[in-house]
Amino acid sequence: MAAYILRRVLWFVPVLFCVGLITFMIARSTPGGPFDTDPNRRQLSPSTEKVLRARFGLDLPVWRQFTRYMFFDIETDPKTKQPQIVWGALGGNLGPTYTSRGAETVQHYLFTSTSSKPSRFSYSARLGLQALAFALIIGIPLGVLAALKQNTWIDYVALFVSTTFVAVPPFISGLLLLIIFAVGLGWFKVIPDWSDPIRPWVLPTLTLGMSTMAFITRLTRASVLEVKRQDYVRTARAKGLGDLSVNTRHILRNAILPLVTIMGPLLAGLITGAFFTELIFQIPGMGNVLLTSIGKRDYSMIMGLALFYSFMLTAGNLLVDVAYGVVDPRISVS
Amino acid sequence: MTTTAQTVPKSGAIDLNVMRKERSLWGDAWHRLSRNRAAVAGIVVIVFFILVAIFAPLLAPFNPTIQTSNNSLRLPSWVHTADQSRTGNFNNLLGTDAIGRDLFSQLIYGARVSLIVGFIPQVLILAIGVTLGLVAGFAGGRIDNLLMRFTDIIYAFPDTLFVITIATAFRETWVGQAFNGLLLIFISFSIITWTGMARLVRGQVLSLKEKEFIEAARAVGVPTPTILFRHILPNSLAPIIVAVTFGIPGAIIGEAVLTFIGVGMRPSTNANNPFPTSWGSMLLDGYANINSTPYMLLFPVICVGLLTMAFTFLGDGLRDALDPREQ
Repeated sequence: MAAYILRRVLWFVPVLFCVGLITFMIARSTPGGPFDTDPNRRQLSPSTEKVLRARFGLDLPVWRQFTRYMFFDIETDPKTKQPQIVWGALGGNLGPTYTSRGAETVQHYLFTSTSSKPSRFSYSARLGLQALAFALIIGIPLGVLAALKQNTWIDYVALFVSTTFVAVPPFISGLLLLIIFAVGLGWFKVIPDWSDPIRPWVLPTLTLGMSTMAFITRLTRASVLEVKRQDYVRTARAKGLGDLSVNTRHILRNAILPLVTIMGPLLAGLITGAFFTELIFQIPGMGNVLLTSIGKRDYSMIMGLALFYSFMLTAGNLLVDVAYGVVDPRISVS
Repeated sequence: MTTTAQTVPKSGAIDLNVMRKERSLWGDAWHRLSRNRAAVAGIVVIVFFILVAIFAPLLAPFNPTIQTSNNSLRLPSWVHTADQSRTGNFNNLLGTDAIGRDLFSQLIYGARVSLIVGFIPQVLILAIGVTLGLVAGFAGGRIDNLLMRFTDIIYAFPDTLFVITIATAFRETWVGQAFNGLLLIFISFSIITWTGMARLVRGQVLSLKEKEFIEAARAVGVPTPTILFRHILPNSLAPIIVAVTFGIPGAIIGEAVLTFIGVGMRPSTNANNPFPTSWGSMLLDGYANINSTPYMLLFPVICVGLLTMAFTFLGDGLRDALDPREQ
């Protein structure tokens, strides 16, 4: 087990390296740069630009810019004149942002909260966790209920809801919810007021959680139906165990297992779905930061976010695989 | 008659058998599919939109690029207000947008872009995914390992992020300008989403490779390309078809999202352009006018939603119909 985890963690290195390299190449091939060269707008003075270019290492050869960002670079300290190692993404330093002209680092911009303003990451994380909680809290009971009451109206309603919601992507359901509940009925504001702790979160959470919820409902239902037919369930009933005990101790415990396997793709869905949700509902989270940073050619921000998202995806998949081995001892990871 | 019947050698009889068996397999699948109500509804919707897309010039009452003055942000025909310049009339069935273009005609032409964006990337994905999957699965060993690690890396990339980055980076190059920006959408979309297809095909090849009929084919000296394309590929067609069907709605949404954030399709002002606008671009316009004319947003949302739902239902139905063991 330990060897397996170690091997998987080591696999992070080439993955993140390639993700960084590809993003770096794409970002660098983008026409235009972080310093506006539009002759109609006010230009940076040449001396300022020179200082900035030096600060961001834009004068270095391209390969060294890359290694400087990803791993480390050896620089001479201006005060002590001693060469020192400056860590890059490897050491958790995602570099200074271009937008702030180097005054703020990417990790500070994304992850640091102030008392008046929560961090970008906290917005995204809260949205994702709420959506996941919504999906699990509604999805699992609905699926179990549908399977236990198979071929009754409860089952049909659950099936209809889940089939429909699985097919509608968050982008479309989000816009639809916005039109109906914010514009049509006026229950929520189109432009969110973040001083309200609950109201601006309702529609985004529903949007992001709905298709996941539907997916979980379908899977739970299928899984419970499968377990219901097993011999040990019949044995349990034959022993005279009550409905509640059979349903919770024998059926539910085994039926929940397959849910763990889909948590990986689910996580990916929540991360990418959050993107559109943040966009539609104007949530100041990481998805919106990415969109603006691409427009502003903020190389370090784009790369930082690409690395962060890839790391989350890979780590999420690893967690799921390990969790599966832990939850179900019959599965051996190899 | 009799002479032909007598001169037809044994191979003819075998051919006939093969044909009948094949027809019954697909006929069987079609039969199962036609009993799935959601899938049939999906097919109806898809066929409807395909017809609308083909006959757009005949169906659309106006050219969707033509702007009319004093006729902007008009409400749909059944909505009436005191404001004479905005109240609905039957001239513009679903109303007009912010610069006086007819929404109904825009919707009709928009179906073209959404459908073509759904289908063409699938062709590219098939080409890349099937090739890599076949090679990796059949060659095995080091080549397989190399190709699959490469696939893993691309898979680890958050695809939305990648598509948006590529679409932004190459937007001002000739690739980004070509074909109203649609070419770039096709490319950026296919070079990230082929991984699923490659993995699927490789898995199929690996499991089929060990089957007796492949062994038999190799034993009688059938060359490798023939084994791949005549024996392995046709036998893995069912899951490939299902995967393609599920890929289409993803691409349709992809275009809508890209255009929505301003790096996708470029709406055209040229009246002769066969792809003047897309639902994604209508979503963008609608979102900007959400308070004054929510209908501008509502109609394309319904269309995109309907079409993606239709493909997903069809995919569900195909999966159940083509692989009865799954049930």
